[in-house]
Amino acid sequence: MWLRVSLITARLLGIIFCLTLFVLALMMMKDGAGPLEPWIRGHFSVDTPASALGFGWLGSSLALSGSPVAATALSLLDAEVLNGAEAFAMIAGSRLGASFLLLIIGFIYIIRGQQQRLSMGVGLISLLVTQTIYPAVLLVGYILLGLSWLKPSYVTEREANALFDLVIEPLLLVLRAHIPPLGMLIVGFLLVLVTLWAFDRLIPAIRLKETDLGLVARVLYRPVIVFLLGAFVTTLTMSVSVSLGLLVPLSVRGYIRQENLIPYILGANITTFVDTLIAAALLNNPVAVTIVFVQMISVLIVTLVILVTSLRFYERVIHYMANWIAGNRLLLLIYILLILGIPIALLWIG
Amino acid sequence: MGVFLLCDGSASSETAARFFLLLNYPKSTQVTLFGIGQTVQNPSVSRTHFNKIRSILDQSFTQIDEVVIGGGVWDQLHNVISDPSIDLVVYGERPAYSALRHLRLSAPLSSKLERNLDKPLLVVRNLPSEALERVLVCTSGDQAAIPMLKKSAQLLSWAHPEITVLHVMSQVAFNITGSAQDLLDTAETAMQRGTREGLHLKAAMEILETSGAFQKIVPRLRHGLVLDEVLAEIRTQRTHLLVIGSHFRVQRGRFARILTADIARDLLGEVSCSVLIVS
Repeated sequence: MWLRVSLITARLLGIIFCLTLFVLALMMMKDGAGPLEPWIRGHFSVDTPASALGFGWLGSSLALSGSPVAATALSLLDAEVLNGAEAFAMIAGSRLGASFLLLIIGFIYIIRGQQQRLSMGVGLISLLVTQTIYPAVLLVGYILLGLSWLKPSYVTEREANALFDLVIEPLLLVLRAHIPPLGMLIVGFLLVLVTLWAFDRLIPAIRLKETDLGLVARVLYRPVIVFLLGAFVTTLTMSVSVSLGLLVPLSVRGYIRQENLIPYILGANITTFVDTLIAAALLNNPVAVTIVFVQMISVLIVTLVILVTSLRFYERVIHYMANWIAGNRLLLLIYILLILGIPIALLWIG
Repeated sequence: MGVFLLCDGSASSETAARFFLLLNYPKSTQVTLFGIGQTVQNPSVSRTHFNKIRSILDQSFTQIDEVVIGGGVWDQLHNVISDPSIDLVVYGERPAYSALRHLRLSAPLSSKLERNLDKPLLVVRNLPSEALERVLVCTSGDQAAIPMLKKSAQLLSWAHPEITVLHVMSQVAFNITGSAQDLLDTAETAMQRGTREGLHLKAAMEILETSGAFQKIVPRLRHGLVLDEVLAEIRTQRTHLLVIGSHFRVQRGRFARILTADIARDLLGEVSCSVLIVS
């Protein structure tokens, strides 16, 4: 029993330590971004929502993860490098490139001779689900952000951040004295990557196998059930890919039915922003909180419309798109180039 | 054998009676005509209709009874059909046109029957122009499907149709580095390699072959979305009768019914051919 208590205590302390480092990382990025605003806006052409979308998209494709890029967007918003609409677009962009790594690895295996259709699987479907809903999410989000009654009225309790301020401010002072703004931005970003990785390891594993949902690889569940499962699991993991990874032990052969997978990803896409919401709260910036909240609500609205009105049609579209892309090497190459090319074009044109 | 034929006064009931004849059940089968939607106060409609149905079945069966009970259809059905001597319930229904079925305000009777009956249910939608030749049996690929297959073999054994046993794999692979060869298998290669699906198809064929009643039994393994692949197979084979199992029966746990999708109901709402639902 004492061992168990010790393990739980150690885990909790680890989470608090990671949170502190996470806040430090956000503050470092904010510190670094402020003086670099003209350079970011000029050099990267991040001066419109479209270019911010491209920046977030390209950033997450290269960073191989969406959460650090979303956290960066909040820091840039806090540093007033980005305005609200641009931050919203950059966070949306961070979702569009988040699963790019799976696509690249799958493509490498195809080049090495592995059966093409088999190499794509879950990764390609995850990307396609996200990419097909996000045009509607952006539209809904901008409409919601434009609503005057949605002006941020939420104010964080100063006391909640006082402890962090006590620890972080002195550290920041020291770091500012020794690291230039660009270094602060880069080190802060890397620190975000490390802390998010550490969070994944510290969060207790969910054992779905012991539940009635343990047959998700074979049995067809109701879409709403799998949707809620995806949303719930991702609330705890805060990452769609980690959340999907939890399903792997449920299948002896490493498969999952598409009819379970697609609603699961739809649910996961909503609560994957939990870590970004926490980051916004830790920044003590009500605008940031509102923007992340609107992002989540927009995804929820679009997802509910699909679930209620046209899930079967949507599953069919995703299924045929995935088969079409994965079944043809040239199409797959074009798809990969588009994933990199569209954000670059948005940066250039936007 | 005991068979209940639900008669609602429409031409669909007559079609159901004619379809039932195609199953070639023994003459000694106890057939009960159950009048639904009728009132005790107005039996004349049911009398004419019953006479018509009787005339269709008279030549083939010696024991034909009639039951008319007024009141709520479902309550009466429920009380009568729980009789253990009943082996099959037959119900004639017009095919649901795709564009209109979503506009229904309430579930059709066939859907309610599918959910709540614990007897095999034959929903007749149309009559084959020739004999009942092509039957598609869909299996979920797990142990729960074995009793369904045995029951199906028993119910269809007198008709001697060609049977296609279909399992649909809609899975995709998590692990991009794994071989996942199972996802490319045909029925033949799956049975040859002894995969989970292959072993199940083998077992299914053995069960059907043991009955000795079928002209031909063909295993089929399709890959894609379950509903789409079943519909595609029906179109390709020009299936006369679709046989499916149902997880949604009254004796199944409530929690399980909340969690699992009702594929039988989904297929019932999509296909235009007749459907035999076996629990």
